[in-house]
Amino acid sequence: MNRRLLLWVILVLCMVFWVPTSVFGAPKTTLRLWSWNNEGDYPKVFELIIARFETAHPEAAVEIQWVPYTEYNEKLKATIAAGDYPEIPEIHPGSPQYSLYKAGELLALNDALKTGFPKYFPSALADLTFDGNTYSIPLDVNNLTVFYNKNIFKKLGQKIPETIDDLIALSKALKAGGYMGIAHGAKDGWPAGDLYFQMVAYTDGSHTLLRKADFGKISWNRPEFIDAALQILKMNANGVFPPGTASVDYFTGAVQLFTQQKTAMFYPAGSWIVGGFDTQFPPDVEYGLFPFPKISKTQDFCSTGGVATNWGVLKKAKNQDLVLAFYRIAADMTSAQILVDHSMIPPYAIKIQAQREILADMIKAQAIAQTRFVFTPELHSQVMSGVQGLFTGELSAAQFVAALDKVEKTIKR
Amino acid sequence: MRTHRLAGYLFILPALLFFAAFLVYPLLHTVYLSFTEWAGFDLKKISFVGFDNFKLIPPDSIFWKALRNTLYFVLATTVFLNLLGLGLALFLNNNARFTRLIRTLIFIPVLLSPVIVGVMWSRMFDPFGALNQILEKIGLIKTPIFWLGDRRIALLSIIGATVWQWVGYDMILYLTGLQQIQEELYEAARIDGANRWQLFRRVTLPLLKGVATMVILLNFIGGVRVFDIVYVMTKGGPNHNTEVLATHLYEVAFWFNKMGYASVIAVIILALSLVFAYFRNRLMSEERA
Repeated sequence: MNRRLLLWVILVLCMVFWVPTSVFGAPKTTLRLWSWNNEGDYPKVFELIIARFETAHPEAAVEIQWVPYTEYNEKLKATIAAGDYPEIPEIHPGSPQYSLYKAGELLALNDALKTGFPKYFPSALADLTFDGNTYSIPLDVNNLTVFYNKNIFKKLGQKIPETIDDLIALSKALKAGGYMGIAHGAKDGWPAGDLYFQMVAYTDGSHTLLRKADFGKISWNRPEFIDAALQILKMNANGVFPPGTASVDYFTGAVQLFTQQKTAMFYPAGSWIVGGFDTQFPPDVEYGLFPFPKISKTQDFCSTGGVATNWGVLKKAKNQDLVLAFYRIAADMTSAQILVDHSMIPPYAIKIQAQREILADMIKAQAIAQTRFVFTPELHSQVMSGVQGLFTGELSAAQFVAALDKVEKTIKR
Repeated sequence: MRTHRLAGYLFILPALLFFAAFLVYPLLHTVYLSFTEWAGFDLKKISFVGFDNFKLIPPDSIFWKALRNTLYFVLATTVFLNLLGLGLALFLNNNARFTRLIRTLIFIPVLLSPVIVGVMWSRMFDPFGALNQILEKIGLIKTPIFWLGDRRIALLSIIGATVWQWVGYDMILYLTGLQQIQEELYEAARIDGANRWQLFRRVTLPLLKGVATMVILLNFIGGVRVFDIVYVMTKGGPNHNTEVLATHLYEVAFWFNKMGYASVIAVIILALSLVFAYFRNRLMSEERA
């Protein structure tokens, strides 16, 4: 290539790279949104909120990066260790968020929350607050209830059970009619944990003991915790759950048992699963929800729940002001309407009427929701595997709590 | 001469650098991490704790359960893989019609990812899955078997899926060994009046010793570091009954955020693999001698 031609090529290349920045302005700031919620209505909700944000902030663009649920925490951890910080990371509530907080990776958001954010339900922020500082912003909340197949209940002349004894009687009637009780994916661990937390919500009227035991302030060897395990043993022995529940996974096994109408009920269910049921049930099937039956008739109903999706700000992430601007748009009343339109529950009071009965019932159930989080990872893991042990008959209730106390002794507080 | 030597070193340099960066360094770093406390987030927050992490091993009941399960898994998969692999190799060591097709069919699972195999067998082993439905239809069972939910058989079910996947690999190795045995040796033994059992016992088995040693030790080393299929099929449950060392390591590292203690478990897995590798080398050098 002769020298003159080379100079021309360089000149043209310079023009090509120079023109767009000068004519169209500075390049946009890209914010990476990390989420595992690529199923159901979440992608649509994210897209609508992003579109609103990008209209309000033309200098910024949000790029969604889906990370599989099972690998999410590991990938987030690796990316933080590598010094690369997604600007809008969805934070897994419970022990993963607590680990991030303990590692000092999350920015305290108390000051930010004072301007431009709604008044969140105290219960929604409680699970995101440590030592008086809030480290995440909730997008929506959930409460865990029992979904039931109205058609089967109607066919067998059954009504919604009030107590666990009613539930046992119902399960026997269902068995006689060729159906099973509650589909429950204990193999995945977290549903098993949620079942135990639901029982504790009934056995501990003060709703304070779980948090105390979680942080090593009281022993697990208490009547409230033992009784909660005993209730699971009782239900399992009386056929409330299908046989082999410890080996049924949640998103395929348990969902299929319910949508193929082998079981009449499903637990734990929340807004995240509504979309899946809508597509998998035959069109003529109607389903509804009720709070998990209580232990005695004199008790009030109680469900567990809390934050479903929440976002944090990593301390060393760039463009934190833009990120907070995104969170503010995601938390305004127009976004609340988007959430409700997609069967999700905003974490603050709204004057929006839910269009579907099931969502209206979920919003109502939110008022009685208790925590479903154990923050110490070792204890959370032991609760999950311990409940599996209750299902397989390997553990008694006393052994279940003894195993938790044994784990507590190994934790450095 | 010196230029030639330099050129030789230059040729192996890329491989050497790759080996050092992706094997030697991580290995040494893991050993270093086992003496430290680190949550896995910030590289600046690694603190030296001496042998403190090693002291966590004795009271960790899940570790001992995982170690026992790992050894059980190693032993069972090695026995089944070798018996079936050798059996299939002997059966298919001929030029009969369809032999090649059958060999290919048996080998196909080897090409699949253990994750795919895990997902597939999880569906098969579901209490209401295909396997129980078939067994019920042919009248062998009346109530479902909890393949992955019964603590007595859950690990055995995973072993079954593993054997299904890898038996083709062992079969091919044994077939290679069988095809290297000269036909004349069998003819000579036949002339001496040896029957089929004696041919196998006195000719085939001694000449397969080298291959068998290699296959057994490969199975041992593969078994010690098993992770994917167990994680996909049971995540170590129910109640840690299928927990193996690698799944426990994963939980300790990425769920409990104890990188130091997880590194101790990694060092133990490494030590076990090295013991097997040492025996392999020793047996193979004896063989060569």
